[in-house]
Amino acid sequence: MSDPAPLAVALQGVTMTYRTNGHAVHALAGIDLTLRQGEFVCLAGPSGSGKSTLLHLIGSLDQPTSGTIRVGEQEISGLSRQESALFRRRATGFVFQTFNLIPVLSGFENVEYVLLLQGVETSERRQRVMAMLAAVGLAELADRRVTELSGGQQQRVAVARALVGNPPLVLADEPTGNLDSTNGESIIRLLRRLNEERGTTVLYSSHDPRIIAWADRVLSLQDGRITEDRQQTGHP
Amino acid sequence: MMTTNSPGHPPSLSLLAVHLRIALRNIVRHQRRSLLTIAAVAVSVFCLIVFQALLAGLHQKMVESALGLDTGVVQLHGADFSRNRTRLAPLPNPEIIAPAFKAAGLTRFAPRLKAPALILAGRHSSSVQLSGIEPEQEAQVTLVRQKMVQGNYQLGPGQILVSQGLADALGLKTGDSMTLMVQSLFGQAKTGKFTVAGLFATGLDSFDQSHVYLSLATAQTLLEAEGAITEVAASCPPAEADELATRLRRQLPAGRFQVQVWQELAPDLAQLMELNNATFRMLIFILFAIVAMGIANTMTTVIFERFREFGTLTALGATPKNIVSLVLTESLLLGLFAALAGTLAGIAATAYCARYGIDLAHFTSANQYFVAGSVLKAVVTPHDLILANGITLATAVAAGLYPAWKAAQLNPVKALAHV
Repeated sequence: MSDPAPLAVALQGVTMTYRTNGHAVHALAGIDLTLRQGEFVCLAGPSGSGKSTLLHLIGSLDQPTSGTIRVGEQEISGLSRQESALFRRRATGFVFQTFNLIPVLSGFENVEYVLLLQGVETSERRQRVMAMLAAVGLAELADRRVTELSGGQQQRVAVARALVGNPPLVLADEPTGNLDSTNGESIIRLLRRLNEERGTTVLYSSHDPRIIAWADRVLSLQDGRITEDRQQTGHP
Repeated sequence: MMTTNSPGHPPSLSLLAVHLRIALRNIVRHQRRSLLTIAAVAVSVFCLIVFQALLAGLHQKMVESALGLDTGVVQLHGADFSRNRTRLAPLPNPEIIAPAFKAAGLTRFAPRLKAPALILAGRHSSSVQLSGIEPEQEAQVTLVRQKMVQGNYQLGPGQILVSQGLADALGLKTGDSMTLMVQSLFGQAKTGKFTVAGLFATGLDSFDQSHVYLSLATAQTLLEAEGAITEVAASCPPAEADELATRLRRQLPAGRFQVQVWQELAPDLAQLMELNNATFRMLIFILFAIVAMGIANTMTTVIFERFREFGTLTALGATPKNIVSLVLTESLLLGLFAALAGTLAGIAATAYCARYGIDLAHFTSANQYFVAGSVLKAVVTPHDLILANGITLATAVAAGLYPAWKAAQLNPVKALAHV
C-alpha cells in the first residue's frame, strides 16, 4: 500500500464566533479536519451551515476565534494582513459564486493580475495566461472585456485566474451557484479535470447534489460542525 | 521554470501599469462623475494659474510704478547719508562711481544731486525736492520723460521741469520764469531764475506737487557743488537687485558708501507685496482644501461602490500597499486630467490677459502703484505653472490617502459579501 499524500490542510479545534446585535453566533463550533494533497473535496450543507466561513478561514481571509489552521507547512492563524496577502498570493486560488472579476479588465488581464502580483516576467506571464485560458476553453475570447462574456464564460475566467498562479490549494465557494445546470456542470467538470491534471487540492462548497456528486470526498456541515465525512467514488 | 519575485517586493512596473489601466478605465466608465470631479479641480487649477499670473502682473506693475517714479531698484549714497538730514551729503570719489556700476553689471543708472528748495513764482511759493539730473540717464531709471505732457524733457542751462499740477498751483506755464531758493553746499542761501521748459504729470498728486528737475550741471552751479552728486539710482530687474547690489559693493571702497536695494528703499512696497502673497496663499489653501474634499468625496464613493472588487483583489493576494497604490493611482489620474485641463484653460486666459490686460482705472484711485499705467497684464512663468500643477497633484494624492487607507483596511470577507 502506497504512502498517503502529504497534508494540504489541517484544522484543529477551529471555532468562529460572530457578535451580531450583542448575540454570539457560532459559525463554526470546533472543526477538526485534514485534507491531503490532490484531493477533490466538497463542503456540503445548507445555507448558514458554515461552509463559506470555513473556506474563508482556510484561505486566510479571516481569522478563527480559536484553534489552529495549517496550510501546507504554514501555520496561518494569527497572520498579519500583509502576511495573509502574501500567503494567499502564493498558496491559494479563489473561485467565487458571483465570479468577482475586475469588470474593466479583459479576461486575459484578469487572469494576468495574479501573475503580476507574483512578479512573473512578461513573456512567461503571457504564455502562462494564454495556456490557462486555452485550458478553460477561452483562448479565443482572451481580449474581450469580462462584462461582455456570459456567466459561464466569466466563471471559466475565474477558474483560470484561480489556477494560473499554480497554487497548491483552490477554494471555490459555491462556484456553480450563479450558473444554470449546464454551465454549472461544465464548471465543476473543468475544476475536476484541472485537479486531476495538475494535482491541485480543490475544496469547494455546494448544496446541489449534482455538483456534490463530482467530489471524491464530501464533508457535510450542519450548524458549524462536520456531521459527516465520507468518501465517494465514481463521479459522473 | 516559473520566475517570481520574492514575496514582499515593491510592486513591479507592470503591476503599476495595470493599476493605471484599471484606474483609467474606471474613470472612463463613470464618465459623468469623473467629469464633474475633473471640472471642479480644473476650475481650481485655472483660478490658481490666473490669480497667480495676475498677482505677478500686479506686483510687476507696482514695482515698475513705485520704483520708476524716483527710487530705482538700487541706490548708492555716501556712508553718512540719512534721509532725515537736509544738509547736502555729496558722494565721495564721484569719478569711480560710473565704472563701478558698469563693472557690477548695472548699465542703467542715473547720477543725481538732490536738495530741498523753495519755488517763488509771483505771489506764490512752494517747497519742493530739487533733483539735478542727466536727462538721458534719468530716463533709463524713472518714468518722468514718459509722463511729459508739455514742453521739452531735455533740460538746458537755466531750464526747469515742473509738474502740471504744481504749475497750475503756482500759475505757471511753459516758458514762464520762476525763482528757486536753495541752501548751497556751504550753507548759504542761493537763488536762481529758471524758465519752465516742460510740464510732467505722473498722476500721483503728492509726487507731482513736490518734485522739480534741473540739469545736473545747472543744479551743481546753483548749489555751489561743482562735480558733486548725492546719489545714484539704478534700474534692473527687481529679482536681481540683491545680487547686483552685492557686486556693486565689491566694486566700491569699503566703509565709504552705502548700497541699498528696493526692499530697503521702499519697505512699504515690499511689505504690501508680502501681504498680497500671504493673502493669496491663504486663498489657495482654502481653494485646494475644497478641491481635496471633492476628490476625497469622489474616491470615497469609488471605494464604496467597489468594495467587492477590493475584496477580490485582497483574496487574490493584493497587499494593503497594492490596494493603496490602486486607489492613489486613480486619485492621481483624476488630478492629472484636471491639472491638464486647468493648465490649458489657464494658459489661454493668461495669454489673453497678458496681451490685452485688465484696465483697473475704474476700480482704483490714482496711487503710486499705478503710475506706470492702470492696465494690469498677467505674467505667467514656467515656475508658476509647475507649482500650480505640483500643488494639484499633491492635493489629489493627499485627498486619495484616506480613502486608499480605508480600502486597504477593508475586511475582505465583508467586502466580498458587499452588494
